[in-house]
Amino acid sequence: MNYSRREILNFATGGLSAAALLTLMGDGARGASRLPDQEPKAKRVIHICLMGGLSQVDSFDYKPELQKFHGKTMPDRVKPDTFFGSAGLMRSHEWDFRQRGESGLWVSDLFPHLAGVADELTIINSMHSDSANHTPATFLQNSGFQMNGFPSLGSWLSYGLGNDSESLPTYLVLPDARSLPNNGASNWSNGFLPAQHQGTLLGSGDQAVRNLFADQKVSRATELEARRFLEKLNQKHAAARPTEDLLTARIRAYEIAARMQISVPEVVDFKNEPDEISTMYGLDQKETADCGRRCLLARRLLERGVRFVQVFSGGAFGAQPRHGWDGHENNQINHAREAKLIDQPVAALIKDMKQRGMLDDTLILFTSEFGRTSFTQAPPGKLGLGRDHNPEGFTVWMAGAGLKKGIAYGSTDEVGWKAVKDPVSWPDFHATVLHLLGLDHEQLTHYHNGIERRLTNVHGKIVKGVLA
Amino acid sequence: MVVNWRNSCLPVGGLDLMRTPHELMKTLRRSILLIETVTCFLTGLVSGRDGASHFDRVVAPVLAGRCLECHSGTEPKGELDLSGGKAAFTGGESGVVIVAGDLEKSALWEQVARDEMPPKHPLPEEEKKILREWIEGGAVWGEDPIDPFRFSSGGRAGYDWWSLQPLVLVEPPSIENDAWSQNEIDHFVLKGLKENGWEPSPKADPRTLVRRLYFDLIGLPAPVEAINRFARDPSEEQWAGLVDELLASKHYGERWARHWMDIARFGESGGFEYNTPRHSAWHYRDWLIRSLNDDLPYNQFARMQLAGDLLKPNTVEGAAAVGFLVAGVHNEVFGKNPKMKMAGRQDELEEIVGTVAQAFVGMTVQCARCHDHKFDPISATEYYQFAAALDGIHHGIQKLSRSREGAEEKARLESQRAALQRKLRNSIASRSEGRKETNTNLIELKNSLEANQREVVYQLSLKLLPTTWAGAGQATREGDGVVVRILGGDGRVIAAEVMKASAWEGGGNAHAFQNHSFSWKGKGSGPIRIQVQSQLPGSGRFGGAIDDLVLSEGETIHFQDNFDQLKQTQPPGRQEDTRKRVFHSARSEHWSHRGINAIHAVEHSEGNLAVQFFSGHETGGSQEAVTPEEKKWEAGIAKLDGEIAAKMVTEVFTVRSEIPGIMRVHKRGDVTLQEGEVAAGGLRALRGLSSSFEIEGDASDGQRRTKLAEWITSPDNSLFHRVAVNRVWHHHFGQGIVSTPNDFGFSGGRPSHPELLDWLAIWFRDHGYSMKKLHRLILSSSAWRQGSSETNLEARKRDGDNRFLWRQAARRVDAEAFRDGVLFASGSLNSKMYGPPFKDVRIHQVPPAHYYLAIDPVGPEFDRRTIYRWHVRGQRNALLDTFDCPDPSVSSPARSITTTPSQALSQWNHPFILRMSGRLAKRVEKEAGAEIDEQVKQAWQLVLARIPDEEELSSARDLVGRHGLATLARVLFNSSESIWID
Repeated sequence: MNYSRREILNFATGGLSAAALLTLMGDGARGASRLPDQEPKAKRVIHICLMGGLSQVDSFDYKPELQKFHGKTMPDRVKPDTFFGSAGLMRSHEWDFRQRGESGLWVSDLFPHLAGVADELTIINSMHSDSANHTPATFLQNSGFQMNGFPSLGSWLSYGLGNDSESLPTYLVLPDARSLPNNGASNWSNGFLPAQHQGTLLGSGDQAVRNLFADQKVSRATELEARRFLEKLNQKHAAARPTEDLLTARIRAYEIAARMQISVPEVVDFKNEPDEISTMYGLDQKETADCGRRCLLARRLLERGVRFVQVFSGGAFGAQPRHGWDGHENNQINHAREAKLIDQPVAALIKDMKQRGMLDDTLILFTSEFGRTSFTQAPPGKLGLGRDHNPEGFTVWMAGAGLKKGIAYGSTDEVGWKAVKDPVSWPDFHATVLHLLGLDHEQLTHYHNGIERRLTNVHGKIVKGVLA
Repeated sequence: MVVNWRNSCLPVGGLDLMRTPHELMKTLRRSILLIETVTCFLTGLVSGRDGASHFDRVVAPVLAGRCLECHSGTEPKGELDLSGGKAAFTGGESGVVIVAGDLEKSALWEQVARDEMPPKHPLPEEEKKILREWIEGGAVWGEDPIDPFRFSSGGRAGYDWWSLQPLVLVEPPSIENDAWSQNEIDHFVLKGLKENGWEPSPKADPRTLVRRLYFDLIGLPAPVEAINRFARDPSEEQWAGLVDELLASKHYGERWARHWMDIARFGESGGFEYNTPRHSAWHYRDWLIRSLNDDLPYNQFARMQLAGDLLKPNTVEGAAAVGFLVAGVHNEVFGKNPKMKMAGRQDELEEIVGTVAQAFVGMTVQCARCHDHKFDPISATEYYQFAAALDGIHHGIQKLSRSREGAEEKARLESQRAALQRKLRNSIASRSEGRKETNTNLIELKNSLEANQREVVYQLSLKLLPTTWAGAGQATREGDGVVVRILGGDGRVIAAEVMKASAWEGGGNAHAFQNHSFSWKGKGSGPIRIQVQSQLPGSGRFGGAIDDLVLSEGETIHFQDNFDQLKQTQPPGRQEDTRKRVFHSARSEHWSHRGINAIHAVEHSEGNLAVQFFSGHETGGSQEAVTPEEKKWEAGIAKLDGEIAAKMVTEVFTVRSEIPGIMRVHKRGDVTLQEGEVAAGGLRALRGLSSSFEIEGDASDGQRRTKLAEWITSPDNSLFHRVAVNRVWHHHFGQGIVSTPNDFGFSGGRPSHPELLDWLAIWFRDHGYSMKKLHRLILSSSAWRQGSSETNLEARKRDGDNRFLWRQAARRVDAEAFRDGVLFASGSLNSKMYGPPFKDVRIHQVPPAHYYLAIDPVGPEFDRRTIYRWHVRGQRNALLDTFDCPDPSVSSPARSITTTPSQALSQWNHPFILRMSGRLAKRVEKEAGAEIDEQVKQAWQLVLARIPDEEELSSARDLVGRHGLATLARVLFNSSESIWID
């Protein structure tokens, strides 16, 4: 049978028969890999997800004009709808910008380590979003829709490409140690896709995956014999129902589960990583230890066949002090603190992936749900210290497979407020990511409640300008 | 009307498994289009009426489906408009594109033939042929302009779509030598099987039947005693008795309420950034269980969920039922930007519209919010009509009395309180200021109107502005409002109308008023006077604002004032929150101004003023009770307040009804591109049922929702009935007659047994919408009682999905049945029904957001059935989650069934399973004694409802001997057999 998983799922529109057909194809427990629509450039993804809104004008979007406008009112044509409804005077960038590496990309001193790998970055300065509201904007970033209930990018990739690992889930989520994003699991939800495509939270230590081991003491002998007995019972039950593939899939699922009990503790244990790697990722420093551990873990997961790893920088909105990039009160203090946590680890990840040759078939995404305003969040006529949400123009970057390296694509206006040249929407961004993974965003669909759903809804243009 | 059955039936003779359904449908449609085309041309020349009807049926759908998206409307691409005959033949910017009878001169054909049009999606050959032959045959036009919804095409459903047609009663077919059929269902099923040359599967054995019946009806494992009882006498009488017994079980409601909660996307927190907990949403769950157990007729069941708060006002029952409407996610964070607030409200409405329409009529109406529905004949205008019907709904909490008596008592106390309050206010007002209530803070028309004739109906309308106020102290509150009085020449009030502000929410803004009109029949003769007054004068609050007051008699307008001529005696101030300009102490030429409280002019849009009533603290005089009588009344009021509060003990998360605004069509779904006004209405696409609610655009929430409920549950609403019976069928056969229970449109599935579906729908309607009767009918059929093993290899090959029901579907149990079954077998199930949920989460707050952390608390409260679990969003119980219990974000008509390593880990290691294994071991020891063999047998019976065979017994004996009974229990709870229903 030479039809794809997706076609089968479409055909069966969920339910038992879908699962059964899947298992017919050989491997219901993990889902067989689907043939890509075209030659993939990347095989796997690390998504670094900045919660709260990274200020583009303080990081990757250099606006010399902004210095001139500092302390002045906005140019007339800038009449923004702000989230908190008060637009103060303009504020210049807080960190100096310099041209970096051979590419001469502008990166500010906010990210000194990332500046060192600027030649690997593919910066998009012209992102824009449909929402200035954290949660809907975060959903948009992850699933292309503002509501709960739609599959996230990682789930679509799991659905579209299947798993290359025999012993780990396809899509793993590594949250910030401070807190989870608002709405928790809805952010890595499989939505209406089958449950096997949801993101799995991976913590640290023995129970890095929930229910990996029983929390009461069970002897090794008991465990082994009980499992053997279970398998015997299940084999017998399945044998009497030779056409019910779900029953065979269950037996296999228990086998893989048993394998995970070995593979998960192994992947979260860094004892075999050399010291220079630990140092490089900043595991030896208080500020960088959490993000460093997760970046290194991301690399290790990818090495073991995991398809999509999401690393969060920041968690709950509204936490005090803030857990993330939401610099309403004092953007300078906020961003300085947050950047310190991730700059070195993320730069280390890029260097490490490159030195292992993994960057050639891996995509690293570095995004936040929107940017920040170039004017301050203050009463009219006042120069404040904070910046408000800005969905009109902001910056994300990608690095790795299939991309033009060391370029900045698109641009905002002279004050870095609104995307004006080559604007890129989230559906465009998603279409481009899928394309790099060999998937056609118009073909990767799943029927749900009346619609052949896509990650890109009815939108999405591949951003050709960033492709190598 | 010609019914479009084109795509309504499965191709008899097997399904082509190599194709996706879409390809399959395309092929089907092509062949049918081809047949129509060929037939048409075989019959000779096409012209005149024949040509027109051919155009409407065959050509217009191609143009509508492939061309009109760009080539129609106000700005057609290339200035070419193909939606009407005249424009189409005129051509576009490059000249004429269709020349009748001349292909070569027809640029349209040229581009189509070269695959240049439609861009990127060239037409399939069959459709090209249609266009070519149409032009060659003289290009006769039909309906002008083309109604893109009239006929179904290869790309979309039209008004002739199968599911939109009235129900048709087809007599159940009779088959010769039919010894199999038990009832009419079987006649239809058998006919389908026979047409394929297949036979039904043999009847399942008694154990299988009883296990399946328990799973289907009550979602709990069948006790071995029940199996044995039926096995001893598997007669029809015994079967019917068992079915009745389970339908009468209180557990029936618990099982089927859970199915309905999936459809209702029931969740007990709001989702989004705050994910606010809903501690009183469980009333809806209880209402579902009670209603199902009482076999509330389905049409009433639906009406209550749409308008229960109106049908049974001030009752917990009514408020609980409409919990359905607000059970979904709710974003509470909009920012301060008015555009975002408006868009947020429209998102809320889309969520409600989508759920209501899918749940009750199986139509994805929400897909028409930004443009006409891409696949079904639903226009964007109809979307906004549907949304208008639900626009009075907001998420909120009501305090109510639990019983009907309590509600009546509460109403009685409230009226007593109002009477005392009136006495007290009048007394205070007359004592301190020498004024009666009707004398203060009002405007009265200076000149009386000579309009009052005998027995003539007058209409008085006035626009009450939707305004928002700053600061709670000045805002409108419950009980505030504006009174309009019509007085006769003698000063006697002949008509009065009180217009209330909509609910005030602490911390938010009161959206005060909207258009309002009323009529009264004039009696007597002579001049009439008009007074407008704010209620609760002297309360230190705004009563409200009015604009555009019109008094008319038929077509004749007697008086009209838009208040734009109000004299502004002072420089303007600004309303803090709305930033609107306010002129204090305004004066009018037409109106006299009585009372000393301020009457302001508020500029609600540029140059447009309204009268605003404000009663300042200082001007209302002393509010204190002074005389002994006043003090007595005051004490009486306080006492009544206490009594009323005591009656309102029950909080219910439910609909907060507000006065809905005027709904407008939003172009491309954009709140800044609002177009024409629409009134609440249904869907035109439904044949045999008017979509008009015959109410005005400014109708109240009550009028709108009552009409919607009537329209949805009308006996003529064919979809309402088809969708209902299909849902019940879905849960009895693992899939519906239509496999997409929420979507009966073009993108949904086609009925496997269309005639049976209609027959069941009519039967259901004729049997009083009794769901229990419907269950009984289905469960007594032979079709349901078939075995599930796939012995029919031919059928398996050609119909692997079992659409023809050549066997019963084997099923894995769902998350709830799994957990409940484990509790039941271990003897732990706490069968306490109803009431607040058990909470197996810990709330972690990062104000104002809420997080829910899964915990595993121990105690009898936590051993209740899973339906009583607090179902918050964004938190997932590992065990339920991996068994495909949906995170309630959208309506979920069918559970997916997946098998994953995470599921295996949870089932094997979850502390709940280990705990229950220990309990089962204890129970078995107690019940079976110390003999290991007896223990094994008892464990087997409790979990698997059978005796182990010799081989099983001997292996289990070894396992128990070496590793204990609890280990065996853990294995049994993980066995495929325990979660599998044949």
